[in-house]
Amino acid sequence: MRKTTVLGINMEQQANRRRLVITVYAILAALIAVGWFVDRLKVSGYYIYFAALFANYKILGGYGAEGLVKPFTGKGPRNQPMPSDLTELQLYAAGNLTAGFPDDYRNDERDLQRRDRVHYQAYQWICGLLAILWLLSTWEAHPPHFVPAGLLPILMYLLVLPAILLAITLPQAMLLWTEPDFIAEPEDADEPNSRVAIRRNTIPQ
Amino acid sequence: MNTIQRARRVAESGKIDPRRLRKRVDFSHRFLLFIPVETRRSRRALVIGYYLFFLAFAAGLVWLRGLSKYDRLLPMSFYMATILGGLTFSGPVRIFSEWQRKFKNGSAWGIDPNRPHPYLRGRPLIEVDRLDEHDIALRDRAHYLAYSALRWPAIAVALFGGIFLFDASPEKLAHLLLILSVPVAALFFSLPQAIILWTEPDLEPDLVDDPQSPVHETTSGAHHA
Repeated sequence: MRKTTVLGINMEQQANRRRLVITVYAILAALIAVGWFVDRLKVSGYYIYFAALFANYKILGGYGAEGLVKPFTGKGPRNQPMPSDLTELQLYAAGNLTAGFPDDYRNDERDLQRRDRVHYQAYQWICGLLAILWLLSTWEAHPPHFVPAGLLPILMYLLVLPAILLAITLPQAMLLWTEPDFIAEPEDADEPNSRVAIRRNTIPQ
Repeated sequence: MNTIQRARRVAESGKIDPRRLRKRVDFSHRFLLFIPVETRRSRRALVIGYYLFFLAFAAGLVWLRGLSKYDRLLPMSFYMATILGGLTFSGPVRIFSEWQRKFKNGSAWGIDPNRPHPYLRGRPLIEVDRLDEHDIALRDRAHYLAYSALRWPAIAVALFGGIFLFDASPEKLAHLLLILSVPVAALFFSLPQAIILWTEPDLEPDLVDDPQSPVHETTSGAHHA
């Protein structure tokens, strides 16, 4: 994870991150329900897609430069912030500093492993959803007698929207859901400014 | 003579204990139909051939039987993807799913070689190679690449599909979804396997280091006992 706060709420705790994921999906589900009653999702479906993309890029991250999860590609945003000091400005002008703060975007081995794993898991979930969709598609071509014919197109339409919303957001949500609580890294005793080193230096000989 | 035949010959000659040859290649799946899958070049040709064949098959079906039989392509996309492996035990790519592996070797039923089930006591269990770290990393990476590639068409359909289907009735929409679902299914089922086949280097059996005879090699190339 790159950021640890969303709307001022600390996301270092797994419970908070899980609440955030539930909230995002609850809002999207509520939007689908409202859109269905308003215009059968014909126009409002668009806004729901944009809401999902907004949540993805601004809150969840992963497939954008912002959000909680580091960009999966490891690349920073194209528009870099202005250099804050003279040294940075000189490095920027010399072409040595082109990626802003690379540590904010670069994925280490564990990040890459976690990224690939959640994509594999998300693939399985999406596969299950698509299998239902394909079953309905086949039934739509050859409707069985026990399913009302008018119901199938509506069911398909109602399944496509969540499938695409999940395809946009699921890996990041799984990553936020499964990451454990953040534990503060112990300070290095060899560092002169560390608490242990300071304490050691203050012990009277 | 390719590397696998060479390794086999070395193992059969008795110079190396066959148990030291850790198989990454399943010898029973060296060929896909009649095409060898040991070299990257042949595997890439296989991937291209697979998609061209599917395209030709779909075009032929629609040409000969009309759009009414188009939905037959949906299960075909799955069955054809099993040829590449990954989804079932056939094919050159090792099966992805761990639970399918467990069902096959019996551990999902509580049948363990160490704790044999009374019903199967004395009967041989089916040996299924476990996925090692490399296989799992390869599988996950292939799924990440496939997911990233398929995510953009999904977003494009979400954003631009509505423009063309603004006034469409639910029946027309469902019909169009059926037409779209076939290429999606064909790619969705086969893309991770295709990525693995495309990117893996030429297959070579790994020689497991023998702890009894360590070889210490320096960067200068000098050997120590």
